[in-house]
Amino acid sequence: MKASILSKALGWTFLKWLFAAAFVIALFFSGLLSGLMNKAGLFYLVSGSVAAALMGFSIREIGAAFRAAAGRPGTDAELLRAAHFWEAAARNAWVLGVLGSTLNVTTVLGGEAGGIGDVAGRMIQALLVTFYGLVLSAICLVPALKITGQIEKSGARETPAAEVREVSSSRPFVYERMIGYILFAAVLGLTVFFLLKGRPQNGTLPMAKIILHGPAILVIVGGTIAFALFVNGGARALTLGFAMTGLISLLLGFIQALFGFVHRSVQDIASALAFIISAGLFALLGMLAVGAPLEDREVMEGRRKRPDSLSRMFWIVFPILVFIFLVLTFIMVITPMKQHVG
Amino acid sequence: MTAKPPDGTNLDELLKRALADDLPPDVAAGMQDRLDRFRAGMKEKEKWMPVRTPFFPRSAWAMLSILMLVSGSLLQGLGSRNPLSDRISIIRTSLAVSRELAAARSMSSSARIQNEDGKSFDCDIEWRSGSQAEVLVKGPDESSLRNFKLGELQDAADPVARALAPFATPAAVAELLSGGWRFVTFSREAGCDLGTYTTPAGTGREALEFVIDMCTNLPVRITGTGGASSSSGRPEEILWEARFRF
Repeated sequence: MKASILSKALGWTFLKWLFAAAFVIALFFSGLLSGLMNKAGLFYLVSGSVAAALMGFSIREIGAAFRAAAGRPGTDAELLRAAHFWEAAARNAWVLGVLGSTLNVTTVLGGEAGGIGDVAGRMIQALLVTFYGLVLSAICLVPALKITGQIEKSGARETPAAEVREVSSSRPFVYERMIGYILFAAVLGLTVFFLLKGRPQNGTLPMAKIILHGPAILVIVGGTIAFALFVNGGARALTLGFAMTGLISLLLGFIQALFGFVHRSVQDIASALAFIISAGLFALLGMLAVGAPLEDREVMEGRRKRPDSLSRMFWIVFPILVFIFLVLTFIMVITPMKQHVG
Repeated sequence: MTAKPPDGTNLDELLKRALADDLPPDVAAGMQDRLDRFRAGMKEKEKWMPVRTPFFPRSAWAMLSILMLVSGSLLQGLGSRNPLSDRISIIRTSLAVSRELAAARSMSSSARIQNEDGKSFDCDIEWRSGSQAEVLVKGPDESSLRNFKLGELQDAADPVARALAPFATPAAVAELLSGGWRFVTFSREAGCDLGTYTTPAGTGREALEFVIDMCTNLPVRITGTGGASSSSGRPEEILWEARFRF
């Protein structure tokens, strides 16, 4: 009897997902979204999400989360862990989306300079990746909310940390994490390759030179380490360190760019805009590849019930700020200015 | 309420003994639950592992991080050049030059070009918006003069007209300067920055070196070259040169 109810529930869930997939495929082939198509961006987001999941979760945990999303019942602790996985997947998709746009903007600005139409068109294409990230994030939030609802319905709002610890995997998952990090590096490399394909670049490894912006790397990495040592609060210190240092760098770059406009110095403006873009890129990269997986492990190993509330706030707010600064950067790149004589 | 029970005392037993008479069971259970949650919270706080500092002692990491932070801020504050800022500077300037050339109302240029025999000759071009350009061509000995109208410059059959066409109008100059710019240097003259850039040779076009006045965002000088040195990026052989006044 119980098995028949379970199989009916799984069948119903499968049908729902099949219907949703058919709708998306029909929309894709209808041509309605042709203006919103960015193949490199799609590849980056989907593969990047898989890699980011492997950086913070074991394959067993991922499998359990998928089973819970499909409606398989479990203990409250198992459901809590599954809900956390889906919340983390939504967070990763959102951060990856903005990171992809930032990377894309860097390659657009680093490539050959065409006319304003060419630059504007490519910049808008770059911002599409954020849209993809937001859509994928919304999709991942559906199972997270559904599972959370199940837990609330069962009346178990708080599961003792000890119970969570009991069901957590004791098996180390170094290989999954290593595969996750290698896959993530490969995805970033391949995405840059796809973006640059067919576009001439100057010199030896010029894109690497353009992305590796020395001052931004020094400020973000140095500031984060200093913050983490000062706060001394585990993985959340790293997340907050990247976010806070990134935020300060964005504002610093913005103020420097405004001074550049006041002094009518093209070099100052360009230097500030390069700093804004690179600081946003490295802060997001640090949050995604260092802070988030470590916080996920703390939750999955039962050391904490949920990620720190400040971290959760920054995972949502900081990418929004980076996106806003990217748009401001684009506006400042195309804003005309003449120098004063004298 | 303390995080840990006193040494050697079982708090549960103590609680039972102390409160057995005057607390109903549900209140006692609630109190116990609260104590458990308080202890669990304290344990969780204890579980926040401090940031591990691999490879070096903590003080070395602290020094390194401060050093990185300060050097990064200084490099940025002092305006150190890097490839991305150079690219952004180029994009801003090229967009501004296109815009200014499109809005130009008049243009005068002096050019020294070579004819098909390799002999150089000077010419002056006067262009006014809405009117035809007038081109005065001087020969190598400055004696033979020749006048062109703008329409005649479109004549691809005349080698002199073909050579002059790229400097005849601001639109033609904008077309000439389209393509991948590379930054060479900045200099300062009469209170304005002058930016020097190059473009690689394209189909039917020589490599160019040109100077942009950053006060007006308009070209001051364009030089057609026989290619750029791979080491310096500067031109190796000057084929023609044009100077502009707007």
